[in-house]
Amino acid sequence: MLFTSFQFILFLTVLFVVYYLIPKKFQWMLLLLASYIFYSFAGSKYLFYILITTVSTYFTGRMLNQIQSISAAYLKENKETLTREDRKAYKAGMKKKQRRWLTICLLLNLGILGVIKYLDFTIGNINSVLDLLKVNNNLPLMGFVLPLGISFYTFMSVGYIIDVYREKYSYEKNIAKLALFISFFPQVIQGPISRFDELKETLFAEHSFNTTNISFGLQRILFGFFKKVVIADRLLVAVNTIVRDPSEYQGVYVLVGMFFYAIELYADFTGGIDITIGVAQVLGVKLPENFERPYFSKSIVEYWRRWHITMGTWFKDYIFFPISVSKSMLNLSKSCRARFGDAIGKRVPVYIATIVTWFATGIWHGAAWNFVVWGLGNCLVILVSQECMPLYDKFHNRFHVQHTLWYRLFQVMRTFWLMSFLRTFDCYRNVPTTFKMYGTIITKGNYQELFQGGLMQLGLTLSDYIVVIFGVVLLLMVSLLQRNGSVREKLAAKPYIIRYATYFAILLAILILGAYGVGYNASQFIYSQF
Amino acid sequence: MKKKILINIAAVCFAVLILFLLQELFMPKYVSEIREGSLIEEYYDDEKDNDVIFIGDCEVYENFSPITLWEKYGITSFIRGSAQQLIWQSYYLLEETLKYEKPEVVVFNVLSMKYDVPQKEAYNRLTLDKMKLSMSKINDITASMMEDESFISYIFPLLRYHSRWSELTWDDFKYMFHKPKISHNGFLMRVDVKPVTVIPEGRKLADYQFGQNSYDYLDKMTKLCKENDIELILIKAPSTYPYWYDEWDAQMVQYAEENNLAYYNFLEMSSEIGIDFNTDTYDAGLHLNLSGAEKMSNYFGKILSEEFKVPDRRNELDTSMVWEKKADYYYTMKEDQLRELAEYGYLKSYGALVQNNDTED
Amino acid sequence: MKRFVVIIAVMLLLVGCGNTDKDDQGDNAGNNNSQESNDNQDDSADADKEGYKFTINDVTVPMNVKADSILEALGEPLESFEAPSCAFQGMDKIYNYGSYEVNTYPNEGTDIISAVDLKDDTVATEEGIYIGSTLAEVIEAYGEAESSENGLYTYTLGDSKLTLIIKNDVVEAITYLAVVEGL
Repeated sequence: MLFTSFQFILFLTVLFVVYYLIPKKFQWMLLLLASYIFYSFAGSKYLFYILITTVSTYFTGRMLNQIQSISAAYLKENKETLTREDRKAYKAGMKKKQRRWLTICLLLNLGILGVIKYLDFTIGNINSVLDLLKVNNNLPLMGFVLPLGISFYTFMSVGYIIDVYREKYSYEKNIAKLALFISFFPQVIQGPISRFDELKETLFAEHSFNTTNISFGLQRILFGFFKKVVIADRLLVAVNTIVRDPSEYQGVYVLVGMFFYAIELYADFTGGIDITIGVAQVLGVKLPENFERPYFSKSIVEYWRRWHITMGTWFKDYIFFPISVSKSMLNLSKSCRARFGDAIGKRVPVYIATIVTWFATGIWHGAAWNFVVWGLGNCLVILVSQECMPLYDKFHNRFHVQHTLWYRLFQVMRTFWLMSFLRTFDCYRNVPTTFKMYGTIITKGNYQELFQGGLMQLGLTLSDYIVVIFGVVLLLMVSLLQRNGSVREKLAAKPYIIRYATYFAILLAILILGAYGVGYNASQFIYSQF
Repeated sequence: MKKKILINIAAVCFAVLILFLLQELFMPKYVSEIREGSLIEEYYDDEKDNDVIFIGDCEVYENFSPITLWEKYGITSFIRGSAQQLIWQSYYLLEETLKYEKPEVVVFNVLSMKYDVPQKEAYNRLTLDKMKLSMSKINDITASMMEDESFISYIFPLLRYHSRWSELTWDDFKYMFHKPKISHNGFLMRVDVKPVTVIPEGRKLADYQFGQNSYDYLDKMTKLCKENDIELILIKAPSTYPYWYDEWDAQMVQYAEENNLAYYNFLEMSSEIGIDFNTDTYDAGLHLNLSGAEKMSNYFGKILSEEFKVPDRRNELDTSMVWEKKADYYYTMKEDQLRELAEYGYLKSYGALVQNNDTED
Repeated sequence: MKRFVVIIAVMLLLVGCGNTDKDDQGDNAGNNNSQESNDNQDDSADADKEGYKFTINDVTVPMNVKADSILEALGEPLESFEAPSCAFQGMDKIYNYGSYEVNTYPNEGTDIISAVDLKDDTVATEEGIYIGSTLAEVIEAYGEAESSENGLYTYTLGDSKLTLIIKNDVVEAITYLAVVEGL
């Protein structure tokens, strides 16, 4: 069930009504039921996967908790008799036990994800190697279909179980509640990747009918639809035209494609997240924000703090951080310091952790080499700019341009285009093609073509472009307004007529200008198959 | 609080009204182009007191003239035809029609037996969009939808036609609430001529058996007519294309026999009817023009009144007056078409294409 | 240390260890490539487009491509027929060349090849199948058919379809078809 389908709207309507009619203590159970219904629309056989993850995570959590309580009780009981060393040794032993359970759980769940998402990629690579070695026996591809949102819910449950292991919070005693956390339908398609301790506050609570919450939620859903169907789905046509025919659309079209894709991806992804968070808000559930005006970022590091935020923090907390502070890293760092000096020794753990994190981020986006290259490309830019920091500082100290509007604008544009260039790997899905297309930007020299009818051959008409321009201006205005407070609150302070006219205008824009229905291709959320 | 509720109600009503108006505006008008799209809705404004109802595709609405049936035999009739009307659409249209009136005879053109599954969204729209909301319509939609279509967009066509915002014409405003009459009791008149030069042979088929779905609806149709004490007549209109296979014909003959129905293959009788394919068709054999349709109606009217005893109502004063008016409009349009044909060489305002002479052979 | 090893092990598991750049896995991310496109007649890629093609006298007739230049190359047909589509603008056209027939349908003002019918055994498919070939020869040339219901053998390649009617192990009819909704 796509967010932009009539089916989904009907599903939501029924759910909202029933949600506020039933006794409040049943609300979270209804959400679980709804999530499983939503999930089964994608194919009921996939419920099996999410159930395995839920059950295994639940029992591991329980096991960890048991060990933790036994350990705590033992230590308390024998507080007097044990020496510090004894206590330390006992704790370490218990931690080891826990770690064993954790490892099994992670291997199982990441294993499922690995096999389903990456086995064919691996087999494909092995086959290429075999081809190179002139071995004719190719391994057959398995052709698994990715269960809906498997990357998202696997990451959420992995985060949960690691947190329980780290004793950040206690395990969830009710398996149904854990099941709801893992499967909560608004976020199963494309995130955000929530943390259990944050989400449980509102997810399992009783919610009464709160007009402000519901109205704000609906407004956000509306705006999400606007971004998605009016802007993203419309631009997608042009992006596809360019990207699918690299032999025809080169040079300036590559730049146009990058630019359009940047807008399309932003509108699609943030629009989807708006719908997600809005739906949750109508249900009284508070989800974490996933974007903070990323295209206003002045550097790539900042960009990644503001784009797909929950994914970035997940990788930071569960990959980057554990690697960089692991004992082996410290040891490695120590020996490097001894051998190559402080400067290198200090950098080794950070570099390794950064590279691993970005490799993982890349491969998480898709089981293909282009995503790996994309991830490592980001990594390279980040590391290089880190190394260049002293240079930047010198420049800034000398010229004092840092706080001028023009310089900041330059930084924003630079970041935007740098990200757009990197993102091209995601467009063409093929590393050599992407590099070739980069080349044509310089060599082709067809810049004059664009306004001599070139733009009109991308599948969009003049009126489409006008709609897109209006839409983008609106997004820009909303983003600028957002910098000093909630736009919805500002709007709520206005007189009735202005408010209602605004809501209705957005609704009309979606209904009339939306690129949906016959004549438009049903498009999927870009992140829905992760 | 009360004020707030009132404001909300007013806002919702206003929004619904605007949406309704937009929907009317965005729906295709089918006046200057694709006039076939107007056929289904014209029935609702009519008298609904007919002895004969035709159902089927273009082979009924182009080939039979109710005015001729009236003038020659005093038969009152209406054609509930639409472009590429599929058999379940014919069935549900009949079901709907029977809610308004009870004819003596229902005539069904069997060409659509060849389509066992939905064919094309555009044709679905021509038949379904303007049907009034009823269970028949809902069942019809469900039976007709292609895989990637959504039910809701048939109930609220704004969801289908919203993208026309950039291509609205003056017609859309002019005919938003009131449209001129296009047909003559469902008959779409064309006076121009394009002779039959070739009858393309049908492509060989692996299986000539009509699909089960088609037969199921034919059965339902037969049953519905029996229940309502209506004579169902199956016909194959005299159109030379699309190709009507002998194997298909045999199945219809057999079906009619088994179900005790009349079946006429007018294609075989075309010379007896007097149809001259050099002068009586406007598109090389697919559809008869006015002259052809009148000959066809003349012939069929005789069958209806003699064999099926459809009454002559010319002596009923009220009915006569109504039909005289219809006939006036009919002849006025005929005059106008002839004038246009003489003036422009083609039927400019009747949805005809410019005759392209170099494609003639 | 162990934690690190576990993480590395998981990474390796996720990634596999191939090292070539063969990366056409396509649409794992579920965006652009997974969407279907409506415009079948992308004529820029006519020549090397994948699909079944009929070739006669060095003229190749692929499906779903603009018809004008191909018809010109084929020369004057014995007869041609224009069939208006019910209600909609534009004509389906049939060009009869005796041993074969070429059909077109209109799309946005141009005619697009929709089908080629082989009418007798003087013409054959590129793979050497003609009316009168045996089922075994067909299987040898094209492999197992996707479906063979009622003797209608169907093969799909790109946006073209090759259908053969085979009765009593002998080919009775051969048709190339464009895969388009509603035709």
